[in-house]
Amino acid sequence: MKRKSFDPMVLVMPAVALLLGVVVAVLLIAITGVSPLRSLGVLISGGFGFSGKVWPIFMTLGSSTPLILTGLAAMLCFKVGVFCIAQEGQYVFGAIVAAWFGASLKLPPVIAVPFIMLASMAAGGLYGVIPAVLKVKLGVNEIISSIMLNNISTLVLEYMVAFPLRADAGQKAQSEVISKGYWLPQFIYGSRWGVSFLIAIALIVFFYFYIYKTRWGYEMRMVGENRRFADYGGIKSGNVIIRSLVISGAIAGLAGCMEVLGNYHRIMTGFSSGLGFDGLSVAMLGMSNPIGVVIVSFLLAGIRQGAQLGLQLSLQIPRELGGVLIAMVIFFVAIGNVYRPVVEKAVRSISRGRKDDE
Amino acid sequence: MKEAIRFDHISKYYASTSVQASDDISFSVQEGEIHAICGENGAGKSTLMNILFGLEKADSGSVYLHGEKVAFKGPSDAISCGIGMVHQHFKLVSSFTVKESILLGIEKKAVLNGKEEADFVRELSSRFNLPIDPEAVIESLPIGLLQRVEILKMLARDVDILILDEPTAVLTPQEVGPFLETMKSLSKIGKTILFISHKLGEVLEVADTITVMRKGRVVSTGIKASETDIPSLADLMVGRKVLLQVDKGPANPGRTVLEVNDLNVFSPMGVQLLSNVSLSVRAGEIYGIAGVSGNGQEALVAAIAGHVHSMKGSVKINDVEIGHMPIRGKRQQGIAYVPEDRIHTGLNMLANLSDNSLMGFQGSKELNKGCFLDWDAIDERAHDMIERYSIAGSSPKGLVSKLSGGNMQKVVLARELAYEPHLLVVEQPTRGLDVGSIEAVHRMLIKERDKGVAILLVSVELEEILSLADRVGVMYSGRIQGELEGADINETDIGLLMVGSKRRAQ
Repeated sequence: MKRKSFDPMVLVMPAVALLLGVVVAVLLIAITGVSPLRSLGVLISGGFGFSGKVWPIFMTLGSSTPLILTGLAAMLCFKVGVFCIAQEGQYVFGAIVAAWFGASLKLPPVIAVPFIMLASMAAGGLYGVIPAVLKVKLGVNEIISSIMLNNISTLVLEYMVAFPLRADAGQKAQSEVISKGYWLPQFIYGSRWGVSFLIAIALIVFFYFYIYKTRWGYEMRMVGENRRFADYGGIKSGNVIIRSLVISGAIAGLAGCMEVLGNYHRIMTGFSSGLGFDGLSVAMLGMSNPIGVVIVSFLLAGIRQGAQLGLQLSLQIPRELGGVLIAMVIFFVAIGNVYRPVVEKAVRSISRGRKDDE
Repeated sequence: MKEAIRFDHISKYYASTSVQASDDISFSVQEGEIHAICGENGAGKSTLMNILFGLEKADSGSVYLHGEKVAFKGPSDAISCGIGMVHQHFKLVSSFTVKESILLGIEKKAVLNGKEEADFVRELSSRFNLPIDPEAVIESLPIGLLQRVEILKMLARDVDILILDEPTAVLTPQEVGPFLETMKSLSKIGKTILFISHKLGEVLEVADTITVMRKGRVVSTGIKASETDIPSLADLMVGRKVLLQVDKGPANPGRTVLEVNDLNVFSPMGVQLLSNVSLSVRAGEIYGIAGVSGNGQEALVAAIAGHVHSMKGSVKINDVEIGHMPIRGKRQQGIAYVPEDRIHTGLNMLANLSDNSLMGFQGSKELNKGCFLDWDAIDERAHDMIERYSIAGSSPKGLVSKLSGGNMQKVVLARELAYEPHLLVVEQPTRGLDVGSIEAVHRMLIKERDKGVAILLVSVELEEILSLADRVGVMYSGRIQGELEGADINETDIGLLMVGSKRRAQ
């Protein structure tokens, strides 16, 4: 029997978008007077290199961790056809809960760390219930409700670090450092690459099987692809949507928790820096596929890293250009349909050529 | 007569689906005639028309218009050369008025003059004898009138060649007759009409010349409608003898499976959709619901197999009340349902055949291994369905959207029959299908009946009801207007009941 045929376009399209984005950004850098090849080299060695005290590639692996988790969270919403963008707020709430319990619990780490993770997931999950129920029961647009919820979470964070959780009245608004015993270990000190990365990868594997190999994942996909068909077949699509959005929220909450336990060890104003939103880009660029999410997270984190470590430090090019690069890549993904036919034709002629060779 | 269009060795290959949609097509259409192009679904009729209209490019070959070689870059090119096309699915803005729709894109001035426009449309509609109210809003119009708007839209652009892509597929039986008259009158005033259809009765009634296509090739062209008949056309279309009348033995009805009693259904706005409907369907019989569409059939089917907003009365399957059950519960009671809209409801076009065949069975023990779906077993099962129901051009991992209409319907039927239902509800099971597929679907239904399944068949095709149903209920205005049984089932009585007449013809 014929097995699932793999569509090469799933990999080719993001790669082409990435290539186009890099080319445009490097040309932009050329305007500042730096040779494009040099800046490209520095970008790559700063993002994915194997040299220096802490190898950049390890730092990239470290900073890809929260992207993988928020990307997975966003992907779970997209899979049921709901464009929920509450990951930012859920991420922040997960972090608040982790910082709070992390600083106040007096339990042995074996008990406390899993407890804190579960509590953060519950916080994120509960935050996911709101847009889900509003959407399913009242038909409220999920984009609007989740934008509002994101604003609320930012304000709650500011309040928490300014008053109840504030470490020191004199210092800037930040919470107390969590107990050292609760810190998640890093593989290489200073790289941020640690246990949380393994947890993220484990979740990717879990959800890969969940989505493609279980009946619950099947129901999710059917609801997302054609809700009328799912309803007609007896699936309670509203329940499936609520379930997925709650799971998604829990994962985004866990991402916040990981950043507190494994990286910052506290929260402060501006804690998130838009990581929740990055998850949306990751899920879209990764074609809503768990493996794609990992690859894209790694690439985005690396580009950002390279822009910061390479471009800024060694070439004095503003690291915002890294942001421009990422924006360019997203732009080229968004207009993918414009150049898709050309790419498709090329891929076809290549694969036909290969067949002819055989 | 002069030649209007000539297709000269047109070929078109779709690499993405590996389909040779047009294979060396050559024939010509004379000026002022109604030229019907017949063929099964997927025979390449629409592709050829899209090439003519400039929507697609042929790989090779050329089109001649009035003897001159043309190659349109798009529909606007074609229209400016006098070729207009009315698609099967209308392309109208629902909030526009009729006059706005007709004049969209050819407004004469920057500032619109409503009265002038209305006068123009009125003049147009009386010139072609296609009456319409220029001020009516599109969304308030029935489908028959929408089609008229589309035709007027083309006539307003001064086309002299009209392509009509399966125009009668969307019409109710009552609308078909007048529509065919319209075609004839347009032809009388000199318009050339290309009429795409697979309804052979209509083709014979209206066409002057017929071209038959099969699998991207022209099988026969220049057939005079006066010199042929339905069986020989059907033979050409499918390439073998087709039984238009299905062989059907007498029904052998058993116990009552479905019992509907005093059923009233209301819309969310409180409109009464069904009033006091009672009917019963027994095991081993086909109960046909006839009627013009929109007379409550949808609500009846929803109350039995789907979900309604609010209802009174009872719906029982094997003496179990199911009216208020969720859909999953109803299915567990033994209802299978083939919906009218197979593209949006009956199938998931983004998914492959295995996914589609699994719907409703994702929890079954045979198809799961522990927590995981057993994809080998699922693919195996899909493969069996393909073989058992001869679903052509398909594999378990192939997308259902690549299948023809008839094969899509076979996928739906195969899945629904896998429920081994007590009651099978089928809604317009052959709408838009070609002769070969219609026959296959009808055979499947009769086979299930003979196996003892109770079948509720909802159809607006009178012929379908006549050839399949053992008993008929005719719906009119949310009621069962009358029931006919056995030898009493005839076209005249059903027709009278369909339009609301109380008394049956003597």
